Amino acid sequence: MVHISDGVLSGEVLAAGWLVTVVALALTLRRLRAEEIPKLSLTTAAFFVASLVHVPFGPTSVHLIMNGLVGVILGPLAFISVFIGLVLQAFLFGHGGITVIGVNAMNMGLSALAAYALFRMSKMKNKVQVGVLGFLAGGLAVALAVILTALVLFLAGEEFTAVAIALLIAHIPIIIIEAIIVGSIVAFLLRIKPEMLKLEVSG
Amino acid sequence: MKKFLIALTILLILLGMAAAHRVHISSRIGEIRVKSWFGGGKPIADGTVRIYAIKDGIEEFYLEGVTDEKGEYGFQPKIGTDAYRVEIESTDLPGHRVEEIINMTSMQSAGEGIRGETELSTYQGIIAGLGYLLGLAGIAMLYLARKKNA
Repeated sequence: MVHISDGVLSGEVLAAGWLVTVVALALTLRRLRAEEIPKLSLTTAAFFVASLVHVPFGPTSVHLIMNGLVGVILGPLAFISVFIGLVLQAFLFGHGGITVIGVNAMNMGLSALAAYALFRMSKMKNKVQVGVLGFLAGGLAVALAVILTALVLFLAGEEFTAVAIALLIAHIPIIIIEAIIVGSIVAFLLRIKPEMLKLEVSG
Repeated sequence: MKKFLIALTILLILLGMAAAHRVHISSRIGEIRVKSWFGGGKPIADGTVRIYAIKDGIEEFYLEGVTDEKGEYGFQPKIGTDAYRVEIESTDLPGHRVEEIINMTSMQSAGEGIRGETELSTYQGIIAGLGYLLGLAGIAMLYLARKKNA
């Protein structure tokens, strides 16, 4: 539930979100190669559908985000995937607002890129370390998305600490679940299709 | 011609998306009741409801309340109002708000007057989304292939 709705944010914040998103898309679209499109489409499909997996938690209901998985698998192309996934989620499932897609893409896309950066630290490491970094990247992406969302809501006049704590607490199960999922998928891919992760792994 | 086809495809995609937009509020004539829920169907309980009455194009604040555990809130209509703008904001998850305009004229002519429940089912949404992704992948591959050949 890090998808912010329409009517919550000011025009300036919305414009800033769109600006960051457009720049990030322009930069990452240039890296897109035809052979990577099937992987991009499949990962986007997983990201798009993951938001339907809900975990009831206290008075609310939170859903999977999977931006960490997108970051780990797609690397710099993750931003494109997150943006397309969010557009489809907003129009087809009503997750998040339409005018807020820029801000939501910024929050979840940048977190996905951060997860990728963390995961790339696993270069030249062994399989266990890669799996652990996948686990951490999966959790980090969600936590970072929550913190960025709280920061944006703070700009909209909400009290930052209270909002950040409320959102973080609501997302604790998601952070744990996604860390496990991403860690497991990374371990699985290392075994059956390591080239997908573009890592040099020893042992 | 190909450029036209690509433009047409993009337009159709955009039109399809606009038609599929869904809202999370339904309303019913009599006592007007609004119902709100999160994406997974869980009601927005204890949500802050703000209702604005619109008459002759002028909007003014009407009343404020809180949704019950079913995510519902009922209010008495105000005589002479053309439409209501209803905002419901979750208190548990900041940043989650839904908004809907209830047009009294169209509601009365529609008899029963239930609105906001014409959204796609989850499965239709999934299939539509995967379809869009397939289409986008096709367009991207076509574009990159043409760029490579040029």
